[in-house]
Amino acid sequence: MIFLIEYDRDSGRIVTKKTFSDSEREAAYESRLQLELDLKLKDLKNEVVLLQAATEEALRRTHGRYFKDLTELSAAPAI
Amino acid sequence: MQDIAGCRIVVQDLVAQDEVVHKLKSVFDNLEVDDRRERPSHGYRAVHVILEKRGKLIEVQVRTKLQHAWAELSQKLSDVVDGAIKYGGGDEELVSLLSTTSNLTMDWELTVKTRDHGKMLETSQRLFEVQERLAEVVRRVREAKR
Repeated sequence: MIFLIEYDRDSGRIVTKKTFSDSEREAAYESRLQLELDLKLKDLKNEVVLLQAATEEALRRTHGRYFKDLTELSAAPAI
Repeated sequence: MQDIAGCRIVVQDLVAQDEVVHKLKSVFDNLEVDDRRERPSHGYRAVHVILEKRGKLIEVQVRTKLQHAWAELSQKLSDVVDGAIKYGGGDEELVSLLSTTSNLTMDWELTVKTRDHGKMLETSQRLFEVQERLAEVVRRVREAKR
């Protein structure tokens, strides 16, 4: 799966999230470009990222920063 | 070199991290290995492998679970508290605790690798203490920002 994420760094929250199948790569690139243009026109500095992972669960493990808040991330990891 | 694509691999421990890097070396001829475990960048520890595929550069970040947890926290703090944190700036106590946590995390992972059980217990207790203090400081810094 391909995930197009718009992330607001100040609030630490996802603003928008769109998913595409692995075969929709071109559509995902096009959607990212459109989103970046929209943000530019609105003068918004949100981070835009295109990520691919087997599942959303896998993405949450490798890129938890987008999904988890500071309290969750500052909790002691189990060692 | 400027990478144009990235990939992140999160593994259980230092042994698995070494294995992944070794496998990448055996598969790709033209690669650079940036080992940031002994010499971290503002506390950030990982192994980055830059490889070339079809003329394009790809950065593969290989992290252990604990290195990854630290990196995610540091990045999130940079997002919502102070962008300088990622580069060792910002609240002094917070930066110091992040650095200590990174060092203790590395110590812990080395004791696991060497199976030094005595040091493992000592390090884990110290790590929990520092992480508790870190959580308190994060709360303080966030409250101050509101």
